[in-house]
Amino acid sequence: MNLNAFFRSAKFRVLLCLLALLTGIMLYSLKSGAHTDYLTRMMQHISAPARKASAAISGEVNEHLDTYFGSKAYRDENARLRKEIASLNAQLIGYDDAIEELEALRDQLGIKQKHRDFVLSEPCKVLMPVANDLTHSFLIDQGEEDGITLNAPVICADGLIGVITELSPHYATVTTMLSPELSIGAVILQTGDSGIVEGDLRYAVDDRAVMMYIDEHSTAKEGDLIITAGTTGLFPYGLPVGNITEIDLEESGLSKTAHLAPSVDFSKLESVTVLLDFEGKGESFGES
Amino acid sequence: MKAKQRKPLRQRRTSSEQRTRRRNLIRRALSLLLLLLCIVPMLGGGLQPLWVIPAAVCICMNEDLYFCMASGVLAGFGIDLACGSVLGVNAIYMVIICTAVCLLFEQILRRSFLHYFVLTAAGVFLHGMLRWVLTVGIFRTEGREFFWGRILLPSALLTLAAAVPVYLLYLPLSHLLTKRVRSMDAAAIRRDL
Repeated sequence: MNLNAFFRSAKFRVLLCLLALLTGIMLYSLKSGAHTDYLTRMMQHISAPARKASAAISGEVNEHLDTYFGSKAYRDENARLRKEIASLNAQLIGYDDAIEELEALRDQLGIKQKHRDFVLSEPCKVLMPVANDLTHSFLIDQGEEDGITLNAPVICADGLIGVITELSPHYATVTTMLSPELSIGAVILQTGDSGIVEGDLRYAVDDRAVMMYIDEHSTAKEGDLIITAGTTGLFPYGLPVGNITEIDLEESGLSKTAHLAPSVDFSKLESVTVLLDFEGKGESFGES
Repeated sequence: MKAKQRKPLRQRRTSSEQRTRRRNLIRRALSLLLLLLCIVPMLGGGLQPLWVIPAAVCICMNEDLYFCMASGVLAGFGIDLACGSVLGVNAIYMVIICTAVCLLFEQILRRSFLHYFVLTAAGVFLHGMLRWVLTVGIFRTEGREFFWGRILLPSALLTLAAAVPVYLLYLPLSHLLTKRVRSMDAAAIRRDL
């Protein structure tokens, strides 16, 4: 059978039909948006046990490999931690007083009161990271049936992690702030300068993000804390985003851009919480 | 008008034909199992070799076109699930690759490790290009070269490394369950079987 014969054969017609069917499935998935169509959900549901097993096995293997290949790093870290423990022990005196003072300050600032409006999900277990992804996106073990919604912020004790971008009945995918798909309105706590925090693949490699459009006269410096601005209705005000590691004037000279180290260590996440509702959700600045 | 020759509705198969049929069935079932087994480690997340590409190429070396298409669909859906891409994108790609590989082995190429490896490399490279274009290239995302250097290239190299064990795994399956035909038209006869 030569190629001409193949193009005239029934096999070629079957191939065309199959490609048309797959194109239809792809367009349907694309149209449904955020990969939440029935077919994807069904396939995710079917593959869930395999995912769990695979994640457990690869986690185990990685742990063993890490023990062998990372021993030098662990030794160095151990030495560093010993020094830190010694220094922390010295600081421990007066710790209780500091806690009391901190509580009083928190009460004064009304942070506790403000966060009472947070409706949080049950703690979600991080199942596994998405394969071959540079931005640390991952899957959690709760989904639509647990009350999780699309675009809901995902947080942990250290601060903001990202948002829910894909949803199935029992699972959800979290896209982290390192992804270029995500833009977060943010404020530098110390100076009050606002800007947009975005992921950038160039810096995602080193777990860094950038904050753009900071005022050119800003006095922000390395180490300053960046928090969510709460102006878009997607995130509440005051969630820690990260600390500035570097800040420079843009080439145009119109604004400054800061590089930031996220408050959260994405590689060590085990449990996260989804912020289901908060005061001002869905209300962008000027609407409320 | 030319009279068409009618085939008898049911023709009794000889025991040799029955054996061959049974052998083909077992080989196909095991091939699908191999493909499914290759999907499982990819679902574990992190930087992964795309095990299903070499597995699908292996299968396409020995099977007929329809089975190759089915393998392509399964392999493609596997990649879609593992890499979080839109359902169907990789399935389309894999169906085309599997069909091309099957036709190449039927028409031109001899079954050998070298041909298998070269075709796997081509498949992996094209998949990397497709993923790069659809994920970052088309949107001209900043730092897209990092996606290539830190994700696609390491994953492609891992996939090429994974091609060896996949071949070694599939080789006994194909040897044991494929009828030996020692003639010049081996490929054609095997296809007809």
